Amino acid sequence: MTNLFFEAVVDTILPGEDEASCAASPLPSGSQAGVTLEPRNAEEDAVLRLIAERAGGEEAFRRASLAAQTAVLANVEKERFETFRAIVSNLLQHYYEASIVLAAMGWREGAAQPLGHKIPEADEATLKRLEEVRARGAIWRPAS
Amino acid sequence: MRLELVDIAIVGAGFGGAAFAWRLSQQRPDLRIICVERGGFPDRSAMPALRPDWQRAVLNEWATSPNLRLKSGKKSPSADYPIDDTRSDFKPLMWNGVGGSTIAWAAHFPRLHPSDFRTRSLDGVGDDWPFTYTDLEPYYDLNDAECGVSGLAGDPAYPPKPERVMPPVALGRLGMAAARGFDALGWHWWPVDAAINSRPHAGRAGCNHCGPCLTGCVTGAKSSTDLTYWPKALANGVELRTHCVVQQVVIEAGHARGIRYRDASGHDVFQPARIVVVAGNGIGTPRLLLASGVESPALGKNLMFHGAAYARGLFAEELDGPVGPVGCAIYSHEFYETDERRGFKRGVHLQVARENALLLQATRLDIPWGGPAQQWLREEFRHSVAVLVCNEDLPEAHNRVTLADHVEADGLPGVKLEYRISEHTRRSLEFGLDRAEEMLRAAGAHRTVRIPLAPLTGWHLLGTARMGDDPRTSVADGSGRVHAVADLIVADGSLFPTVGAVNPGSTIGAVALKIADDLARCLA
Repeated sequence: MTNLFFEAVVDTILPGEDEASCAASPLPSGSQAGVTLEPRNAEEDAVLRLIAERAGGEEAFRRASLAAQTAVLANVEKERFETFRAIVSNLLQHYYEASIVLAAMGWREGAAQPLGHKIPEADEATLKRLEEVRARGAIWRPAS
Repeated sequence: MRLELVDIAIVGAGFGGAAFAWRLSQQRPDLRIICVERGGFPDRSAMPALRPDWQRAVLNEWATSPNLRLKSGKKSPSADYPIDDTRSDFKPLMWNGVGGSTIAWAAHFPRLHPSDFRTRSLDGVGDDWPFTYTDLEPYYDLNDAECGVSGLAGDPAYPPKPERVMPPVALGRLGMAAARGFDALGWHWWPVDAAINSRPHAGRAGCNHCGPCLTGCVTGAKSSTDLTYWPKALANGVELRTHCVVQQVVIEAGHARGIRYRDASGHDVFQPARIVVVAGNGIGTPRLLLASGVESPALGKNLMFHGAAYARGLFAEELDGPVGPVGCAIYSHEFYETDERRGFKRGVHLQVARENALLLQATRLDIPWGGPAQQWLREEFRHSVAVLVCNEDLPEAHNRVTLADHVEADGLPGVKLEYRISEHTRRSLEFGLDRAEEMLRAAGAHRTVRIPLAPLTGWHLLGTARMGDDPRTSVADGSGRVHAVADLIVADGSLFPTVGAVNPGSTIGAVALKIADDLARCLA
């Protein structure tokens, strides 16, 4: 199987957003984000070969429309659910940790620590309404 | 190898074992107490939050499910064993090591309500506990003090509780949005009690809202028993033996005589003890007791998790995103107590939870690939509020833990779960989801979605060695003493006769403290 075929599979699973989308920073496709695909075991190899077979060959899959590629993958997913989803999970792990994807989603790259994040404390209006909750009195049920 | 006799041998260094060890060693410093734990201490310098690829850890070696950790093929710091959960609607989650599941918990720290201890008397369902909320209250207070609780006193859903030592964890925009919804409907809400430092406290840092609590807390702001009870228990002289897997409680002539375990080097060790205390969680405890030949009709039965489902609201306004402790913001007990008009007994807990990290949001979609999945994530990320609906799971004997015919790599028989969601739980969750969606819409959500069943929420492993007075229907008495075997005690969530609708950590700790005091008095 060729890298170009793998790339087409990746971009069917992770097509990204096109420039016409309303997003300020459209999501890149999987291959644009640097995500690559290589079967990690015999089961994954078989699933990828099945995708090519169902499409009429690697080249035919590559040339098909995104809708047609998606239909092929959806059918293979039904037949080989667990292995197909394992492939997807592996790709998602690389994609949603890629700097370019995080930036497109408006999120910070890198480790969660030691920077952490700031989140706001309850504002005055919320705290005032909380006092009204308190003022309504006990709602627990005595049990003795 | 046969070791010297000790007074107390504890199995398991999680919440129950830790709280018990500390309290008994404080009350009876003259006793020789040891604890045997299958895992090790967590290494905070190796926790995922310090790595750029921290998101993927929760799908692999830090997955919440031991089965998924094992399946990932990556070396996990948790000392796991496989659990056959193919016949269980909820999948069991746990962490195996010093601290137990407090290493990977959300540290949401509610108490049971007084009515939760009297469900049979009040509502004709479940069973009454052998003691009351009032009996346990001093231990709740003690447990709060030792764990360090952030929160706000004055919650009208509970009898008065002491002033919390720290203010609530910041609500964030998400918490305030949900509060707006509850207020619009005139429903109760309150900032959660959390065993998380909102300020530096007890030598531990304040939370900096990094987000991934479930893959361990790097800063130690989140309370876990390796940081709270264990240092004090060790200072009291308790000996903790890690990486040792207990194979059997040795029973002779109806008395527990000690434990046999496989140590870190693989050697078989017999540790004689006057009293054996088992605290291996609602699966590990019945597994060991069944493997040891304990005969009790209720042992392993009445497994309870808590029914769990989610409603998610999408908002136009920007919210916080995947930051802050996942189990913290606010909760509502407006519908916690029984109202016969709902068509079911007991009630539901509505907990406003924080957003998952982006990768986790992506992987939990029904169809996680393709253009629609990416469009959904775009709409949802930093714009969603999730409400976890928990109901009171009721004890049913057919929901159970049993042994398999084969032996696992850890030397113990394999363990199987059988658990089917009841009609009671389905009705309760349906009702709770309706209320959650109502609140989300009142808060301004332009769209809501339901996850009617959340299988990977089985943290709460309860009821499989239940307390009670009758040996035909219960395993242990109100002091955790096993009816069928003298000098054998249980000190974990297995003991719960019923489970309320809230997270059990606070109650597991309080019950373990009470059992330690009961034993100390008995030995006096």
